[in-house]
Amino acid sequence: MTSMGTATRTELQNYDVSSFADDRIEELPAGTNLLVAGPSMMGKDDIVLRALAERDTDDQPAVVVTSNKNAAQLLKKLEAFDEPLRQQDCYVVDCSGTSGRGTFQETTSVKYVNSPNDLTGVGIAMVKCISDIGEDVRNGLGIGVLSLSTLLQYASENRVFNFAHVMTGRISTAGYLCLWTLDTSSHDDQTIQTIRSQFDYVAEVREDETGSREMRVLGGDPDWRTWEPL
Amino acid sequence: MDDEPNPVVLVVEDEPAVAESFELMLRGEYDVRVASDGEAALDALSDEVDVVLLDRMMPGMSGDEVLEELRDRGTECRVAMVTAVDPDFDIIEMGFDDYVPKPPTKAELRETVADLVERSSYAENVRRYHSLLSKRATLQTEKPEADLEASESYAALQAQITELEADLEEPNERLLDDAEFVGTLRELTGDESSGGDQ
Repeated sequence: MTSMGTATRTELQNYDVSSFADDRIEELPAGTNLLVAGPSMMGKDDIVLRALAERDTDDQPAVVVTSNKNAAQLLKKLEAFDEPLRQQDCYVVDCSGTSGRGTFQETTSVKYVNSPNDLTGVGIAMVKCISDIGEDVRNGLGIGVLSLSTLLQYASENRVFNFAHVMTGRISTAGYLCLWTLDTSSHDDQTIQTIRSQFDYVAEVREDETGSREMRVLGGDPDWRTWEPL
Repeated sequence: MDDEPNPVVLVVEDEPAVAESFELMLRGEYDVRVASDGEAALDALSDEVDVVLLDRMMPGMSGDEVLEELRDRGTECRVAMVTAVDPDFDIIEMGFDDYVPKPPTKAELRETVADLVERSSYAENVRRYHSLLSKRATLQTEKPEADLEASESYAALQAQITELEADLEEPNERLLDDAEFVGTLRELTGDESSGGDQ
């Protein structure tokens, strides 16, 4: 018997991501998993949150999984964008472990998981968010996972790889859009190579000689492969 | 597939008539074993068992207690709860992999068992995929590209990865089901925790 829960998939074909990568990419197909990878202090989380906040739509909910800052810090950050994600549109899975259960009441829009090590718990919280969102998931669901690096600090590479595999599988089958971040200065090359092979697209961010940030996107249009300032 | 042994299903059920009906429904495709209570179930458990169908309400050890003991032992079998009570998502949070309504139809029972067996084989593929990708990544970081291109074993590795990817990239409808999704995650991320609540 597998009729438990609502197997909601989106009816959207493409997601507007024009604020991502400076208009170079207008849309990404439903079911896309994109990894934003780069060294620390490159604003990778902001790139993801901005892309989710500034999608050209009013009725697409978002879920952000946060392991490197708690829900309160995250929601504060979201308010600062030009197009703030209204709180009712944004659901948060807080697995930072720093919020201290008991001091924070679980609400409709914020679910707490004890630790970034509890990867099944993250999945359960995600499913609860999707179930709370209900019918609106049909309009398209944007997801952010911040960040794979924190998960890798608490759980083995093996488990994080498997987690990402099951999550990306659900996302691509259901037609969501998911943006993930990875701090490439925290892991060895082998781990980075292995993890990144699971994603449809990889957006690499780096600093040029003058200290400005630039980005290129691999896995899609050849025009996206050249480094351009952010 | 023909020379592979049938998957083993352990039916834990105190009513002999019910156990027998399960046996009849699964016969042919599965090797069915029966235990009449919790203690007998734990005795009958071995690495050979793929799926356990566990009655929730039994005299002696309850289904929940048996499940806890199974999980403590770190067994890899999938466990479905057999229950007359309409279950909800809590069951999945408790650590069961799925549930079977009581009494089930033949189709329901066979579908659940088939799903659970298939879930294990998907998990096996993901584990193998990870190990092949790590192997490739090690080679790529250690050897110059020209060496790799000339290497037959590297080409064989690439072929294995491509083949597995074709399998794994099929849209996986089962992951749209919440219970299936969480059960698969639990199997693959191997943590003891049953969720965010304590």
